Amino acid sequence: MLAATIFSIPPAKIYLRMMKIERLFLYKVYRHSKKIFFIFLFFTVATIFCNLAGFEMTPFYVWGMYSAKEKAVAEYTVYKITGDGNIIDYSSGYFPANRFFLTSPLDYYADVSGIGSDPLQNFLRQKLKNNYFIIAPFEDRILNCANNIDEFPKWYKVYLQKTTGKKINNIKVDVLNVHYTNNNSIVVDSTYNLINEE
Amino acid sequence: MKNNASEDIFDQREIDFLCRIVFSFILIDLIFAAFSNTLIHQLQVPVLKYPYVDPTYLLMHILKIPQAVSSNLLVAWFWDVSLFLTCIGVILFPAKKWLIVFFIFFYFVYYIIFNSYGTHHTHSLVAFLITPFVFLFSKKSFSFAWQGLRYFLLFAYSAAFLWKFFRFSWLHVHQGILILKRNLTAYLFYNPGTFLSKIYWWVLDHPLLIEVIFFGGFVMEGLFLIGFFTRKCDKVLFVLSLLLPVGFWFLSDAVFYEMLVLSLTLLPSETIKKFSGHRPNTSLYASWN
Repeated sequence: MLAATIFSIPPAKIYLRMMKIERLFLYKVYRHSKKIFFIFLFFTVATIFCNLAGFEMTPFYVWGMYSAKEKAVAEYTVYKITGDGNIIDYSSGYFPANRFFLTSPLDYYADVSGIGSDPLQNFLRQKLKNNYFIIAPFEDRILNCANNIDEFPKWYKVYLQKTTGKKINNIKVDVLNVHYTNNNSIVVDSTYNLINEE
Repeated sequence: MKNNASEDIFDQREIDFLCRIVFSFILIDLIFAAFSNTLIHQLQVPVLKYPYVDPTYLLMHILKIPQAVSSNLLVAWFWDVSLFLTCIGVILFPAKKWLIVFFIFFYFVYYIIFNSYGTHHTHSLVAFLITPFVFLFSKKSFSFAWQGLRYFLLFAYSAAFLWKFFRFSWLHVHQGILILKRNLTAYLFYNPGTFLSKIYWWVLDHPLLIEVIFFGGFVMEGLFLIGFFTRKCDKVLFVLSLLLPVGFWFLSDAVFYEMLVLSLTLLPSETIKKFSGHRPNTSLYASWN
């Protein structure tokens, strides 16, 4: 059905249709209301501009959807989250949004805890270059300070208690570096402790 | 951006019907959020933020709005309750535009908080942020807004196709397998023996199949470009828009079910009229043409 529909619209016909301005959606909007036309036009132009620049500015989204080339890596990271000695499997049994909040901030903490400062600062400096002075006075509002980073394990413990619905006295998060074997299994190569919160 | 099908003219009853469908979808998602412990008051005063380089996020954080709402339990509760009440209010009274305005305001802040403190700017909630805007348009302009939303959906998937095309990731060897491994290693590590894991292990043994799934998804995204020229394929695109989130879930454990609300724009207006319990208003069609 799809093939039949596609081939029923030869390229020349599509081109001819393109030439008919009165069939353009934006033209119809223009005829209906100039105010709405300019709203739509602004949204369209801003979205196309942001996509061409590869720069997202809500609500002008860049829809990459796994378009970046994936790098082949030797090892993958898995967290071993332990609450009072019991392993918490964060990969299943929770709603997707819950899993997102159990792992994504942890990934960011793993990145920032090693360096003790927010890597976003350097990234913003690179992106904004000479314009960085515009946001420099607001660094404390947009960047994570050392105090935020130090408080994370405590927050994670509280959020984990909320998620599991159980009182947890001690949490431990270990980072496991793993690799796939040829016989359908995953083997741990190395491990290090990320969080140990009493 | 053309359209050769007859234009959709919706009457107030049909607009209300669509509004109720959309906000019911959003309400279900908010209930999921409550079970997911991701409502603002459930985030337990998060500490790590990530505005990234998005000026909208930066401005919101400079104004200290996400901090102010999420760091005070009372305000956070107020925000969550307001989200639910305005959403339910719109379902009950879809014609009350001020309720929709309030909902958008509360949801926008929730959206910024969710992505900032989730430390990743996910696009899954975008559909719920954008769609309510079309119900703010007048009855006469609604059809244009609804079509505009259709183009928004077409653009999202078409752009995903074009990004993959011009980045050559569609030619990248093992792209599908690498996406799968990056996102599902933890699941396979902790649950190696489940039915789903067995499927994953099986497809990992047949890597070509994963690449076919990835490439199939890439082609499906590309087909959305057709929608810019004709509405004849909308039924096919509607089915594809249902299949793509399933593919994203399987391959990358990314749940994009929120995008399904935009799929409604691909349904023929006759279907919407039929389900809203209304027969096509021929006089309106006549006046339109």
